[in-house]
Amino acid sequence: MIEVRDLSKSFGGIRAVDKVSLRIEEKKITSIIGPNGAGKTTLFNLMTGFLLPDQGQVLFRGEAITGLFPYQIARRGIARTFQDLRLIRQVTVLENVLLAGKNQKGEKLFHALFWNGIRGEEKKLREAARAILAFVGLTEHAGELAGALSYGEQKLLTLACCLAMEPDLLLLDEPVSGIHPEILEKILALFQELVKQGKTVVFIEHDIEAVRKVSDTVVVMDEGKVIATGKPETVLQDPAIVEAYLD
Amino acid sequence: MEYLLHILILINIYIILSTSLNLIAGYTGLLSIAHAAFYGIGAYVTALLSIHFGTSFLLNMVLGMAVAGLLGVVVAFPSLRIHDDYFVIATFGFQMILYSLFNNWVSLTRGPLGIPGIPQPRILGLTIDSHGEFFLLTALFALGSYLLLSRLVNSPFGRVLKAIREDEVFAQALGKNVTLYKTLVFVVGGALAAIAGNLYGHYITFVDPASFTVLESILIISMVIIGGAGSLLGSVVGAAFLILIPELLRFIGLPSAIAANVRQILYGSLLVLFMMFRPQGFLGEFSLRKMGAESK
Amino acid sequence: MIQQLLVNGIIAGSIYALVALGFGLIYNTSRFFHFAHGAVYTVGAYLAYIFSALWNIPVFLSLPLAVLGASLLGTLIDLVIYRPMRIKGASPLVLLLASLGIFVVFQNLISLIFGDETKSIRGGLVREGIEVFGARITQIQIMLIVVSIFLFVVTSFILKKTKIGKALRAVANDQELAFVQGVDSNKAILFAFGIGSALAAVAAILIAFDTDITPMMGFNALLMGVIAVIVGGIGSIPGAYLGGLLLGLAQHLGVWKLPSQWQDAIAFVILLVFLLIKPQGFLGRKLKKVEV
Repeated sequence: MIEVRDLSKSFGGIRAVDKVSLRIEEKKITSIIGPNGAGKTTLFNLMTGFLLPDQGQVLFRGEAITGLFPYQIARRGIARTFQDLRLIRQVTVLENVLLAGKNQKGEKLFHALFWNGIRGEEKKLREAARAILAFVGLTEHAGELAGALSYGEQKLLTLACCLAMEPDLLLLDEPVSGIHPEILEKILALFQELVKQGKTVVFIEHDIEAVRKVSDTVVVMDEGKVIATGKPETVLQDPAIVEAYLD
Repeated sequence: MEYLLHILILINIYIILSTSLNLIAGYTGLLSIAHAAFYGIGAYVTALLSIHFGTSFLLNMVLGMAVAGLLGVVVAFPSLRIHDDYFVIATFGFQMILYSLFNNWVSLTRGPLGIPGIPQPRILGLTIDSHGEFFLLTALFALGSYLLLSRLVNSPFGRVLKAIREDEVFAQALGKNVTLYKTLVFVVGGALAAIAGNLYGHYITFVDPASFTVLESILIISMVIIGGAGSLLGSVVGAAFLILIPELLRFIGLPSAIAANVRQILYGSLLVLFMMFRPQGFLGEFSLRKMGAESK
Repeated sequence: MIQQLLVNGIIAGSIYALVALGFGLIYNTSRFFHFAHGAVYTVGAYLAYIFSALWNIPVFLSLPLAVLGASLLGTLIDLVIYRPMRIKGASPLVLLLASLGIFVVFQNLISLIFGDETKSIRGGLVREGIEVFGARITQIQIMLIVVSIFLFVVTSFILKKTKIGKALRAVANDQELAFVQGVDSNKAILFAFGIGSALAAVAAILIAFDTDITPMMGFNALLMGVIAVIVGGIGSIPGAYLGGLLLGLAQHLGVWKLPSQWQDAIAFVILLVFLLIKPQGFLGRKLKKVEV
């Protein structure tokens, strides 16, 4: 699905990501774990075009996407969330999801000016957005301001925005950290549901229980390097890793 | 009556300027102090074309819009790399360079002497020469550009603009081509400002650099801010308010020699007072306080 | 020819450098573009005009009084307008807009009171140049360069060695850290306004003695100061000074090839080039971009 080859990025002499090579399998849930500063988020930023690598390549469905703009990568079917929950807090929950809608004619200047086919599209978009909100369980909050939601609900909303983009691959940065166990269960169930729908999920997480529960593959990073990859039952039992990271 | 119509004509022209700048500054969050440059381009293109080639009002307008639109592409460019107050400084630079061109490219613009003798517009065989007709003409264009902008900001296009204003990174992650949108709003906003310049040129029949200074740009941004960034109606209120208030001073017997200074003192102080006590303006939907603070 | 252009460049640069020094000092501590700095500059020149040309107070008294007056105006602007806004959490953009408003008010007040025509405070001073390396330079201009360098040294000394100077640098480096260390940032900012405004006034008075004064003089000086700060590198005090000198030189050497009315345009092209290609300037810290 997505593959990185020999990817490196340094910040002021510190190698945040150091020759990482990784292959993510399609229709699977992959989690990336590792201590703070291991380079997990930097890896995401490199994969989504928000940072340019010093060297190495990112391949999506076999095509190189290194050097593309973030919006181009997003349009190819990669949706991502951010650790610090990026949303438009001053507008409603529904509008956030509408904003994320893919290939909108109404976003083009010409169509916007002449209301060319916008009304019909808007209606479809709204239906789709409501369906997504129902899927993540935010229907009753649709009309509220995004900023008024609880922390956990905001995380659900960022997920909803990702889904509205109709991506094939979701890169989620700490989607369940610091949220209520109830919502956590819900999000993990959503992951499994998404995979059933044919999507691929990669998430960065510190919550080992969550990682163990849903991951098909676990990737462990430390100091910019991938130090282990494998099934959760093997990786999370490895004494070296347990000692280095889990304690 | 003519005096009243004159004021109303000016308000119409400034409504075009303030609403079009609101698209750039209020909706997209790209605070620009270069709007008088676009305004000036519209006026100068009109003046030069009609004097040298005797072109018609509408052709002058279209060509003015085209040149201003091109300038818009250039002015938008720094916004891709620099943000907030640095971007304001960059627009300042464009404003000064354009003013410098109007003022110093004497062989083309006659410099500070200005260009007199712009003919009155003719549309469909009709010559617009009375104040009443000019009022109708400018009102038509003000209304037209208002409706156009209101369509734009209430469409999915406008939704993306607000997203860029609030969180550029998020907009990119959602697959929005932020570069393109920033460029488009400067092209559209700049082209509309050129319409205002065209109307002004044909109405006053004279253009000179003094009408397109940085102070003029500050006046236009003040209209947007005082009216309320992110509210088109606010920009209409802002334009009317800042044009009318100084005119009221005339009624209390202020000599016209000092009116220009008093007018600027007035809008300068209003700008300070609004920034201190009501940064969102009369009708603003968001406070500039958020801007800059959050996008850092 | 080239020697004369160099000398002219250094003279202009010395003035820009002083304005930039004050402007940069204020920017570093308060983190916004204080456009009203241009108004303070103009007020400084006009105070000197009132005291020495209108009231005939001797120069050794009238000029320090004018500098003091401008310095007071700067601190007053901070105290009455910016500080309450800072406390309310105003963003740099809101402060910038307010400072534009203040600038517009003062410039028009001055032209209302004194008229738009140029005024002279040179009075009896003779403008008789001397030859240096084939370039002509007046005594006033030599003094201007000397005073500018002297004030740069003094300002650097104050920042490095005095208690308030250190507080100012602490605030400039990291406002939160300075707060933790018990530095009163409002006091440091006020001090920056005081010194910065005084520097602007000195620059304005020097120019007033070299050429003439008009209500518009502050605007151009301010813009050149801003450009100098950006060219030199935001956050760096030596950078601001150096930037001013370089800008003056670039402008005047440009005249070699271009007619002199394009001097301002040259400066703004330099500004745009730096903003786009090297926004951190020569000596500045890296600019904050939108962070992921």
